[in-house]
Amino acid sequence: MTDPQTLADEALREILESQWQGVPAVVLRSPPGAGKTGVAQRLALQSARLLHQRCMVVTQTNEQAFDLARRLGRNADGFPIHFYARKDLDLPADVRTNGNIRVIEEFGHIPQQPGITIGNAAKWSWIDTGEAMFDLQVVDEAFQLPDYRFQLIANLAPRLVMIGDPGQIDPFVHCEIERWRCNPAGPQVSSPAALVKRHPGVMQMSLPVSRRLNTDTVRLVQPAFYPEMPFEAMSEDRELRFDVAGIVPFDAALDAVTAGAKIVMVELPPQLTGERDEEIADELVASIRRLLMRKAWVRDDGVVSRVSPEMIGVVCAHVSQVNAVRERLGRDLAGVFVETANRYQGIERAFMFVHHPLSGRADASAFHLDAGRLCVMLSRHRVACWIFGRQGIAQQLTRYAPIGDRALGIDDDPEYRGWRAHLTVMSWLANAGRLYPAVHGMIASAPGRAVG
Amino acid sequence: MADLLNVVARMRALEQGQAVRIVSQRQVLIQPGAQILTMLSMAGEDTSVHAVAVGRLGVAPRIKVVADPRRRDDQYELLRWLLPHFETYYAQCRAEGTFPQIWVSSDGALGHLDTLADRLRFTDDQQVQRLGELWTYAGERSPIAGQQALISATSALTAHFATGQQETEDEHLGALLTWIEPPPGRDIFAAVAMAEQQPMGAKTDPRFDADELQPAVALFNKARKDNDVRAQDFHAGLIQQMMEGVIRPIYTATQKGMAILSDPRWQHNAALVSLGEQEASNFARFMEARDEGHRLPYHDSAKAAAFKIVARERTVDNVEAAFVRHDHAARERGAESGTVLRGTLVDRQKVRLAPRIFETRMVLSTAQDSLHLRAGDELWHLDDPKLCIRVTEVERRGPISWVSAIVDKGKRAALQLDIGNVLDLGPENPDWGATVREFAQMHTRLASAPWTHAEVVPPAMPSIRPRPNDLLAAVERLV
Repeated sequence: MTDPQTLADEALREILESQWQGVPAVVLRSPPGAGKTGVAQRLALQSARLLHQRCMVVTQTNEQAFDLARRLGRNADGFPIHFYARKDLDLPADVRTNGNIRVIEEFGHIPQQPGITIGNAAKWSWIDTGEAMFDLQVVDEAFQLPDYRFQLIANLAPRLVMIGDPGQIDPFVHCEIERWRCNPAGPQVSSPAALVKRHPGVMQMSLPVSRRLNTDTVRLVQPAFYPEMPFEAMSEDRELRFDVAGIVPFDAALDAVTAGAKIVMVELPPQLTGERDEEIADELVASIRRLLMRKAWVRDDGVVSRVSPEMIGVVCAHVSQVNAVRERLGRDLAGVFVETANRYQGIERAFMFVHHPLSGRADASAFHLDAGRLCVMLSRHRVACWIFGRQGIAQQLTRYAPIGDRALGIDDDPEYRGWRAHLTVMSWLANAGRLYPAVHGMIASAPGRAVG
Repeated sequence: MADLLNVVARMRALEQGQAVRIVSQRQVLIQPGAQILTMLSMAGEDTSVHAVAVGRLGVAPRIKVVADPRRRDDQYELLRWLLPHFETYYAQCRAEGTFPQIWVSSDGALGHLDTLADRLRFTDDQQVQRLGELWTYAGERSPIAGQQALISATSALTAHFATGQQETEDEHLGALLTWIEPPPGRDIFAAVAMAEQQPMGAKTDPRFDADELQPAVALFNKARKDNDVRAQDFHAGLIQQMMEGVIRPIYTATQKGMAILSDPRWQHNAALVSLGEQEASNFARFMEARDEGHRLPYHDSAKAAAFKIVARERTVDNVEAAFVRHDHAARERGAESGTVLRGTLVDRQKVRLAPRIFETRMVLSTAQDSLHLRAGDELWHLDDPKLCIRVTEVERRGPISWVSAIVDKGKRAALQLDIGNVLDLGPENPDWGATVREFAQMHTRLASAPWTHAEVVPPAMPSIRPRPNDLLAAVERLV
């Protein structure tokens, strides 16, 4: 059996090699935490330094562009990296002061010689020419780019590499799209999927290894969200241990992680609460406090460190849920990063606490069933993930099975895909004995209330 | 949370046994010459027109029925009969610099008209094609936010009223009107059940089809086969009466819906003014393109689709921006859903950064718990178009969010605001010209179609440069 590092190296070698062959396009699918940005970084450096090409790198947001600029700016030889940005963009200090990063605001200032220029898709689409200006276009997080936006930048380079995670949240198009619903390469479709539909012969590859997710998590995430894209975990060296022993049953969910169950669910009694659920927020924050109170230590790829709030994240489906958690954190837990799934894309933490999107609801709408949203939520952690929700989600899914609203010529049914993924996750957790009753928040928020 | 407002309104309507008003301002423009178009298709023939009634508010309908719309000549005759009516109306709107507006009974009827318009453009009769083109204006506009060209009476009414029944049940115009004006002294559900006996969409009742219409059509066709002109006329007349009995109440109900919404109790909505102007401008462009002979394809090319989706997205933004400014209910929904920041001014001050360089800062507090805000967001005062702030930090402390911001525009006005003032901040004023500017840029960018959106994939072009023996190591040395 080939070890994960070798698998990852082979895949990277093949991607790099494709550029020496001059293939017109590569669609590179990546599981969560497989090092997509690292691949983009290496492709860009190879293009500019070894192939002597002009390479443009496309990101979807400014934050992603900053991240890539930082990485590329640290290159070994001090090779200059160009950052194409709007005039009034507020650059982070480390990007602004990095000697290797040169900010350009006018497209006429883009260097004519081999080099790397980074910009977000929106900025690239306002370039005032219809001609190709580069040899290679590397699109990072390409599955977040709808095809009509990609079309506006596609002819800036004759060759493309589109890198992204097909399991995450689909591109957000906020207008009515019924007119194109039956077109599998329609303007609203993610750009790599539309490209493959139009040109099935383009080179397609997958990264075989997740560097972020641990083995236990991959056992759940891969079949639930990537049933046709096998991958494995790079590292088995992820451990949590406590200096302070747990108390049964209060610490059962936390202690399960020390016993190897890296993804577990904490269930509160069934109740319809709407979006905001004060008890879940109580329970979740009490669990974070308990994790820190018990003097936890983490071992992550050989590095042992004391667990701190900065290593912890909370992800929710709605802003109101985010605020319910933030309200309870206080100054001592200010380092805990709490956000919605949309804004958590591309971010990781050692420990994640997840507010289940279907918890407390009477129905199961397309937003809450979205497979991409749940996938983002369950794939941000390196070491452990605790999901919080109301009991009865599996039954709720059975009651709200997809109605089968299909479009002619479209095989994909996002609602069914989401429903199936949710059901797979709930079944897996139940069968693996990963469901634990809530206890902390109930006590903290309502003294005197019966527990159990 | 905005859903919660809807649920509360519906519960109140249920409690009262009568629809409740959910807005005080008009949500739709009613054009003075707006046309009411009611069509009935034949069962199993979704794109046929068995009967049509056309007219205006306050005017009796002109009705035409064909005995059997499956006969192409008869069907085309009916459609050709309609063409002058719409040709004249469109020409009049064009001459006046305004836009045509068609009212149908429900979303189902709207879908029927849209599908029919697409179908008619590809027939072999020029007059029928022309009618399809004219109706395509309404059909293509119908899914676009804020459009005023094709209005379904049920959608227009439900934008003003909430009933005590489910949303899908509101699609029956008769039931909806019963909720809005219930008969006195009767149980609302009994009255609604009675109203639902009458078809209100684009199709007749299946029982009516089986028991009455189908036998009549069969007898008509037999008479035609037998070349019996008298019997043919007799059965055609019978079918005419039958279909008129169905189509007249739908036309009347649509008129009733328009009349309710024309009532002066609905306050002026300034957001609709710009929507009317946009509609007129879109209509003028549509007709110019027809004059120039541009085709209306059934499927969009990738390039055409990109233009259309960009226009739609821009329109959504502009319509939302217009409504949160001028529509009280839309602003309340925005505050509930978190797209509008409703904050109390806690602090505002002028800070000296350097000699003669100042920055105006403000801090607002809010208890909104669904606020969609992050550092860098630009927000505009919804009641003072000059004031714009850029968010620098959002901090949640207890049940309150503290929003810190720099004033980008309207610094003097900001400093004059009283501490404790409640401000509504949201998206920038609608920028209808942005679509035109973006289109100009898209024309430049898409002057030559990228191969990714064309037919042929270019061949691979291997590099002639020397390849390192250990590629991975060579690249890693660069990182």
